[in-house]
Amino acid sequence: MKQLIHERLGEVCYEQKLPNGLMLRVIPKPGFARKYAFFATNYGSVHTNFTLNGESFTSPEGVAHYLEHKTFDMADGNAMQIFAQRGASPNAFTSYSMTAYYFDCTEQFEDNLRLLLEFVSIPYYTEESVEKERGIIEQEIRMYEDNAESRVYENLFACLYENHPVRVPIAGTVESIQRITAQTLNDCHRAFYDPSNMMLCVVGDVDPECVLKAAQEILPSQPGCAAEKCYGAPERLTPARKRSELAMEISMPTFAVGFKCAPAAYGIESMRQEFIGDLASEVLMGESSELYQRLYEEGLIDADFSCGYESVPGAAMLTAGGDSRDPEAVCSAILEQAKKLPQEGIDEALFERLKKSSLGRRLRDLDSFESICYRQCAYYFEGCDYFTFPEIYADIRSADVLSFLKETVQEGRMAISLIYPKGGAL
Amino acid sequence: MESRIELMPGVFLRAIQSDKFKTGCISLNFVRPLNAREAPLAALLPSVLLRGTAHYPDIRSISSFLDERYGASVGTLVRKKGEILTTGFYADFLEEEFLPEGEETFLPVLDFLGELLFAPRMENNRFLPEAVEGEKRNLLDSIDWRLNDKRTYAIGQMLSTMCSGEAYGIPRLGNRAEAEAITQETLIDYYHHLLAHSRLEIFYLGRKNPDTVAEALKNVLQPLPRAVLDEVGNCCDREVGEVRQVVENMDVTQGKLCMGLRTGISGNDPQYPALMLMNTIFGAGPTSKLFMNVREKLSLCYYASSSIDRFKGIMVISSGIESKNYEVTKDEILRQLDTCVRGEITVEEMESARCAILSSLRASLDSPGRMDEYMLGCALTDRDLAIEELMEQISKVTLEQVCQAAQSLRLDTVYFLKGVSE
Repeated sequence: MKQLIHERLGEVCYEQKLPNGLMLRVIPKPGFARKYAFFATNYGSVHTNFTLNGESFTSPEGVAHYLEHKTFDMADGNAMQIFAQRGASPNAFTSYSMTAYYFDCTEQFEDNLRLLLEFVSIPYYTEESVEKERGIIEQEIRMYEDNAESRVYENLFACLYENHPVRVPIAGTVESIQRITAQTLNDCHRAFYDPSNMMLCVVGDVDPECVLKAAQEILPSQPGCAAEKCYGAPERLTPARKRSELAMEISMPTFAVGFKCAPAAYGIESMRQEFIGDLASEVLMGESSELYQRLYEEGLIDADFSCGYESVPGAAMLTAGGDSRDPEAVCSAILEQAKKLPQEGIDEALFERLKKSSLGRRLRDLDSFESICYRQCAYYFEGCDYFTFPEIYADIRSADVLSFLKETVQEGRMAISLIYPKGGAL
Repeated sequence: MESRIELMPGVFLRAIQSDKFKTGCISLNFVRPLNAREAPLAALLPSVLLRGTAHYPDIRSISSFLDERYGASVGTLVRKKGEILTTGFYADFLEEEFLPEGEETFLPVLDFLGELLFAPRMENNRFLPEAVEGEKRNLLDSIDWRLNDKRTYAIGQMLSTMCSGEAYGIPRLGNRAEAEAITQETLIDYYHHLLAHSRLEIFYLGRKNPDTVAEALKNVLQPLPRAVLDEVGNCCDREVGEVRQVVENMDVTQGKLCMGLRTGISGNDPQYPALMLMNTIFGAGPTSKLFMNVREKLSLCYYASSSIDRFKGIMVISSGIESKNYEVTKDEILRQLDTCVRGEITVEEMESARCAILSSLRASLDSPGRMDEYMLGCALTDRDLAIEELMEQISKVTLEQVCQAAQSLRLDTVYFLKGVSE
């Protein structure tokens, strides 16, 4: 395996791309008892439309998430139970752009790794078990429906995007999941759970060669046919709708505001645009900005206010959100400040401090096994190597951030999503 | 285990030296009794202190300081540990090995913590009125915010019913009425009282030598006034009368069922390891009886789980269900509990649970946050039990002891947040 030493990060990475197309990375962590393996496919809720062997598929919304639930089923039992019997904690999640299966253990690492590779790569979906899961997933969807924090962002995405599938919640809807059958799951597994569309990342005090050996022995030796993903027609940069309003059983209005930007090109540019976008939101409205201090002191935002750059394949945006007595005032203040910034310019000392801070936080984040694996996979699927982040920061200038801000934070790009307490003013 | 040393009267430090992490961390915890009047004061005080100091007069200058130290974080930390409340700050920061030559994080961050405690921004011997008003409003919002997360809200409502006459029934941040009653005067009095009359528990984990940490802290804490310390403690009686039942209606799509049981067994009890095992068999994790039956077999819910409060010896069972399934879910949960009482536990169930607990304890040695929680727990129960010792005890628990632990459970309160559409 190729050994890459990242001196600045204090990390070593072993890497190999298998003939079947799987990217494999191992980051050893000597002295830790925990071992963590993360097996991810470049397939999330937005990948509802695709072609496979020349045939076009339109799958029901929520299928990636449904698939995630059922993948733990094996011909001879449920993988979840086998992991648990060994004291390992397995889990999985589906995001807009990725589905990942992982486990955390201190003992029997190799057995657990083999089990992970097996249950994810070998489909076993029966009509009976798919039917049985429907009730559980319905309850999960209901739970999200009662959660204002996730609702407010789902509604924002639905405002911003006309066609892009990010406009539908990850788990789909109670209606859309009714159309999912064992056949749907088998088709999607074949289309997206091919090693050439996946990555395996392991962190912990493990032998990289033993990880490689397990992957070679368990996964198919050659790539299958990978699906071609379709995201529909490119989106305009103006939002489909300007606002969404909803009333729920909550204590205080909550809001999310988003500004559409052009998605970055595949490769290193996507990572660079993300860092520029994050720095831009810090300069404009992060905790060290003048605007944040003013809004906080006026009681318009609280410590849970957050902002940043978000992207999924084919869509990108700058968002901000939190609880506020007067969300509209917060949005106006953001727009106003964004107009002022290009005239006043960015304070270079502030900019350098923000870069230091972002870099330091990313370095500290390397203590988290979960975060290393997630970022390794997410950036790999975007065509970049995450561990190059210090070089990317070194290369970003305040002028890059300023021009991003000028182009993105404008009223014409903006949509706002509001959730009011029931009985409050609408 | 690294020993806990007394730096000054009533000031204790547990410093763990480790070079496993890129982040060093420290927490300062003032130990207080949990009561209705004090809880919101304890929650408010650190937030007000974090609004500005003599050198860093506002939040923007504090943020700049932290940015300059490579994104160090300092935050308020208020924890409810049974009927004890701790309040204070945590800080974490990039270890100096990863900084350019000559730059520091440890001492500057420590000095800053000292400033927060001893040099808050004042006017006429009072905190800044706008800081107090602003943070009080945030506190009231946080108290009201409980409603937003229905799962925690339901647990809170259940516990306030179950423990209405006990300190444990008071939520971590206190209740609205007492929070509203806070004034400039009560807060400043509380500040002076807290500094002088509280035990202070400090946790550090990082690359510095414990002696260096101790010396640095002694310096920083030198202005800390010391007087007679207020007493704290937990009471975990098991007396239970008739089961209390509460139904609350709300316009939600998913109902929340929540049950509270008393065990009379707390962390220091010899029966506690058996109770941990019993809880895991019954309701924690994917091999548990609740997961396997209520979720997997009957598809009644997305989650159904149980947990134990190690300080108060209370078990909480919580589940999100369709409102029409209330009776059938409740019955099934109690039926599963009864199987534990009767010892209907397979070897697989027992060993999976044991394995899960051991693995989780072993892994906690890799997590500074969990080490901090665990060590604070030891300090508050005055019992230094190394994680390795607890693991030893867990590995010896027998099926009979698990049954006995299950038999100690007494159902006290059943609460249901019922979904109704308007």
